[in-house]
Amino acid sequence: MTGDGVLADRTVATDPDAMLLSVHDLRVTFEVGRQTVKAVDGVSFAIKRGEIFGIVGESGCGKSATLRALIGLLPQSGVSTSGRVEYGGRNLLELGERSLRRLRGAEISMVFQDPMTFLNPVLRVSEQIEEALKQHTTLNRAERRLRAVELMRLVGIALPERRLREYPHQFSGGMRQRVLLAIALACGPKVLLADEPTTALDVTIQDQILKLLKRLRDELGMSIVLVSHDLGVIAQMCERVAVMYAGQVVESAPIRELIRSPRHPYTVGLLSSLPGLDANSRYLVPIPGAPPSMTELTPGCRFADRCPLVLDECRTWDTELLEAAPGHRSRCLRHELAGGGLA
Amino acid sequence: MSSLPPDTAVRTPVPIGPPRTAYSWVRWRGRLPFIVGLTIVLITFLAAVFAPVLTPYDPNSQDILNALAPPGTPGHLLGTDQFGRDVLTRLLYAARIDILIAVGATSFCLVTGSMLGLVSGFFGGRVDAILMRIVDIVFAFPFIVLVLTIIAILGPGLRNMFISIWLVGWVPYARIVRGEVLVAKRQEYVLAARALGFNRRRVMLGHLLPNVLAPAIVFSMLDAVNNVGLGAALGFLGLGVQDPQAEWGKMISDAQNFLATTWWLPTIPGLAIVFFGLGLSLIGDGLADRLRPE
Repeated sequence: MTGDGVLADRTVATDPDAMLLSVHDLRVTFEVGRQTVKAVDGVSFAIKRGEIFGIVGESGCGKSATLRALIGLLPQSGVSTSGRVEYGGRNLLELGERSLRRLRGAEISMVFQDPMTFLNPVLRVSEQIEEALKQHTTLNRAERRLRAVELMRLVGIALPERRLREYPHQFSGGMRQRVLLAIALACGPKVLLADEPTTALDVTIQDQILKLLKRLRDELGMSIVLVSHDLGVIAQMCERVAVMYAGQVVESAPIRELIRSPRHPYTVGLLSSLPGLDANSRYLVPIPGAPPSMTELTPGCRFADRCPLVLDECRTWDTELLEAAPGHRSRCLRHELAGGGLA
Repeated sequence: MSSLPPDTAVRTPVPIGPPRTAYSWVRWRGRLPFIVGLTIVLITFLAAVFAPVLTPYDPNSQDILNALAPPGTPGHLLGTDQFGRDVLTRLLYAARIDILIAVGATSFCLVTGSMLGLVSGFFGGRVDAILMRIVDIVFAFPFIVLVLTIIAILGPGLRNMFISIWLVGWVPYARIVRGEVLVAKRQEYVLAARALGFNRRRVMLGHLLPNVLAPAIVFSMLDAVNNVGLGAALGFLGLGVQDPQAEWGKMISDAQNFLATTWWLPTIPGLAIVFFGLGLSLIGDGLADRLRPE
């Protein structure tokens, strides 16, 4: 399993026909005052039908921006997006607002981090679920009501008929996340974009929601893009994962391989800063330093200043994803050393 | 084991929760102003509707022999005015006009002002700039001066009074709602609504409006009080309701010449204005407490 070196073949190993949604060289820049922030800088990935794909990284690394850019949910002013997001033979980034609206909520749904603020406080839960159905389906009022009850059952809410009549504030955090899921699933989407869906929940509820997501994937056969800062969550859920750092994917691999033999020093750092149960991991090992300022990015590897393996050429090379093993790519010149030297 | 109390002891139901009487008293006391306000407005409304049943007189029929009779005169419970018209009758019929002003003038302003504020705040940019400059200009003039100016152009009368209030009165609603929208549109449920593929109109009317309307509704109650006052003031100045129609402000102005001798004549409609205004204010207060989103 040694790396193939700098000049290794870098084409995508997987069959593009099997891909439901593929992202090529996505770039998102924000204009903040006079400065430009490259929030997402050349991100590419692809999701298969029925797959749970993970994106992991710390706050501000561009995870959420990536997800929102996919379905055009970033603010219109001061933001520019480029690249290609292919879904159903179309480039979503070139679709007009009208066509995008037809996709959103119907074929590509989204659940968000904080179920407290993503539900409308003044509308009953039934209204919020049924409204999604009204927008995208031809069901009549009675059918929508039935479907809402069915959805509440699907996401595991007891007494659905009664709870549908309640307002969001009458639900607990975990229950609200279930409601958000019910809304997102209302029209039977093919892709569910989950933006830190469990971050605002406590650990036991988090576990319930994750199991629910997995069950829903199995039952409904949809694909899920799961974004999280928690490698533990990603490891529990995903088949393949991309690690993001400072707006770029720094490593992508099947999850088992990523955990067993990480090939980027940042991933190694993430893994060793995870809390564990064994005696050796009494203390968490932090990654020294802080991510680079997104307004003053220098050429070369963006992790160089924090990297224990840094060489002089790290600061000058045009970084790209190198094939470290089949299906395993790393944006590190010394990827063959990264796992063994540190883990 | 044997030292433990028997299982049944644990299972005996224990009353849980705050003491019932104290709790319900607090709730009731909290709602009292709202209930009182509602009662006052309801009484006024019913009195206006059932005016022909409550008094045998026509508001304009004269009992010349009994002119300026004091309250308590047999057949004229609140006395008569200088033309011998029954004060109670006129008071009740006047309530119709004043309620019409409170509801008609205010609801129109509430609706148009809120809509313009919603559009202004939601779209921002040029639309917002133009609308808000208009609002600034209207705000720069004293409200009553502007209303008087418009009536001066259109001519006195009830209809023109409505038109002039409509033209000026939407402004505060637009400003209130716009401010609320600026905050609410950054809320995440708006993003969530967009993520469901809802169009702008649905996001605006279905999701934003219910969240931003509460302050405007509360303000509309105060505004209704002001409009009743304004209607009375215009009636007093002779620019609103015209003779011989009864209106509270008009009744006061008609009676002003007799202030020294028959002080009750202007006082009675004055009290009616205070009574109705108090009711509206209390409702506004109560709504302010209730409409706060949880």
